[in-house]
Amino acid sequence: MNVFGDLLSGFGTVLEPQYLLYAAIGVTLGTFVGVLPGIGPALTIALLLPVTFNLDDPIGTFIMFAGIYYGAMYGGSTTSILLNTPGESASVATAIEGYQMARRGRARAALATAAIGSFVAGTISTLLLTLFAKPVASLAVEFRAADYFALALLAMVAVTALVGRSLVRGLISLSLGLFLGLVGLDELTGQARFSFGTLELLDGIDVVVIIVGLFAIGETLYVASRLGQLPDRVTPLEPARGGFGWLSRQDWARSWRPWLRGTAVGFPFGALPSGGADIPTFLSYTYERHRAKNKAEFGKGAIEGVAGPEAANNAAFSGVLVPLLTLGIPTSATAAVMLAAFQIFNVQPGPQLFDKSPELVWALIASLYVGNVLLLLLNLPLIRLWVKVLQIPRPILYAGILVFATLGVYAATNSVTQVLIAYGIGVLGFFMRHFEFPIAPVILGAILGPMMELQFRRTLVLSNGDLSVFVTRPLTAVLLGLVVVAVLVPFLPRIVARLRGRPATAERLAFGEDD
Amino acid sequence: MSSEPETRAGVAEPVAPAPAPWGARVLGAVLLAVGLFLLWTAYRAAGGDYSASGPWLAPLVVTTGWVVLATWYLVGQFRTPHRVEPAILAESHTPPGPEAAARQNDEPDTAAARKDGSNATETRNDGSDAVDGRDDEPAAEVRALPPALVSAALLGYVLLLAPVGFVLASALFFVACARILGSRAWLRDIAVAVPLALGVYYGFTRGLDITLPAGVLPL
Repeated sequence: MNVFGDLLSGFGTVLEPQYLLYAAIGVTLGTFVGVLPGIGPALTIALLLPVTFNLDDPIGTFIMFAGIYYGAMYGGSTTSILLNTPGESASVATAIEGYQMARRGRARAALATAAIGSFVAGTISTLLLTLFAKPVASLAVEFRAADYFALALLAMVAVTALVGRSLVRGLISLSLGLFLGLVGLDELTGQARFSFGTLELLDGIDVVVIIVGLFAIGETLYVASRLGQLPDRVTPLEPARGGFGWLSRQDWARSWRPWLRGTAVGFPFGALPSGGADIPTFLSYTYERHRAKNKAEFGKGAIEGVAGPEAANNAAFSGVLVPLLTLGIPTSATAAVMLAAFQIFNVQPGPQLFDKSPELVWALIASLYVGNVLLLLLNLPLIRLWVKVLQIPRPILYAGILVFATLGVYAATNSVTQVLIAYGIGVLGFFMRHFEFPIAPVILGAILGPMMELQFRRTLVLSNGDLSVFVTRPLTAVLLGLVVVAVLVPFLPRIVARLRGRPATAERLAFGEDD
Repeated sequence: MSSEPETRAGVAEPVAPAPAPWGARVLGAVLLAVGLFLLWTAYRAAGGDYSASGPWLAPLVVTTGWVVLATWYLVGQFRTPHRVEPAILAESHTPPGPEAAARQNDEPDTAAARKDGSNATETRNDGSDAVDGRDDEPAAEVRALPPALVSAALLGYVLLLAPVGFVLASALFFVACARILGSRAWLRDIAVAVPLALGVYYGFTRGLDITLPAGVLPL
């Protein structure tokens, strides 16, 4: 069966009424939680994971997750535009122009270009995912343990080096994640590592515990320390112009090219191990600003500056799914949470996934199309509801987040100790934010570290302890070479400046902040 | 997350010779100490087993890396006290990036907008919040008491969870936490907390078949 036959059967599954309902619930829940200020898609999925524990239908659950993700991303753009509080760094670029548009009475146009741009980008990039997923998966069948080791290392190091402003702080975050991933029983020998003689730590520290701790608890503590500094005024929506008059003819004319360009940037960057949507959204923003005929408008609410990054953000997600589904390698914090969700259902993404559970994969991909349509249908008409959600007073909002975070960890682990561990990690997260350590490397380290170690040791067992396999196999050697390149890229401006004999005044390249 | 662009104001402004970042130095020292402790733990547990395919190589590599990085960070904090990360970035040279551009048009009227929009439920400082509290002087405008109180409330919450039950513990925690975060509307908080706790309890136990402690209430 060719790709489109597979996809059609996927649609056949998704369009059953019960699955449509799952998708609709997912989109609505995702938007609801995503709209809450300071909550990005990764935390949205982590907080909503417990809801799915006792659903015995993996297909329905993943359809719901796709909806939750899209909803969370869309909700995040609403928050960025109306409140200037991006829930994740991928929305920072949107917030720049979007908030300015909202303040100048063009909130509806900003929301519409974000929504329609997300729809366009989501549809095109899901199409690309449909076309690329299977070929990449069949290529990936050739991958050996050594290649997986190199890939995991590349994903981890690239994200740490490219995202965030300081390499040393990024690497310390990564070490923390790797350490958290080590705690517990060693998979191959059953030896206890870093359990400090306690039974509770033998099972290791669940990724959900780490995510909820870092994002929900850490974030709330951070907010608590800076109560006076929050923007708490929601920019009001201007009155509707009736019907579908959200975008004027001129807005359409100015939006469609940035949508397509954003998609073109977003998908490949998402597919490469480069930290998901952070880099493409900023690239798209910068590019649109350079291209703009009326540069002065940028910074004062240029619609291109919303259209491009939002499209890039959405396209990057489909891109991230390529390595996640075909290789089982998450390249962003959100993908790491998705992987954790897969593992709850004992579904191991990777090249075999397309052979073992094709109906699940294609239903998931088909649900991305459906989620996209639902999002467009639900969100613009419901915008008044989302504005209401934004107006929830902060103390109530954050108290609620803490209750749900505790509930999530408790429901996931049924253990007070695990909740305490999550709190402890939350305190750590508070200090990390305070001293500007990025969060994403912790999560990637915790989830990729064990994977990497396993593949490393598997390689050595197969090669009888001969370390040279890592350099003699061309694919592995190339991937390891890319790791070195990834570490050097941020220093390129300085290196170039020095080569030209100028003092190294150029700063380090950096994109976004974290997660 | 939630790093609102205007809290990064320090990037665009010329870097003033800020006081030495004592917080960062203490952090560096703590990181180094923890790293050494973990390295020692791994070293002792390995007991001479350094085989590359064995279980102790990864812990030793990770903890050694940790110690090296913590040393790098700590040394960086002492070298040039006025910069956060002298070895790698020169923050004073950061060009006006997208955030800076947005900020320049942003500052005057947001501050104004915020003053009249200030919510009665939140304690707020004066309007000086455009000045960055994150980049160079993490101590500015940062209060340690609320996060400490929230942490204490969380601790109480989870310890009460099993004996008292989910509903009561959650409702109590919710009200206490909202209060710590600046809410002064008791009745509203209780009116939100009780239905929320009950709704979640019934939703999870009846709807999703997830067990939550019932505690002292006859639910």
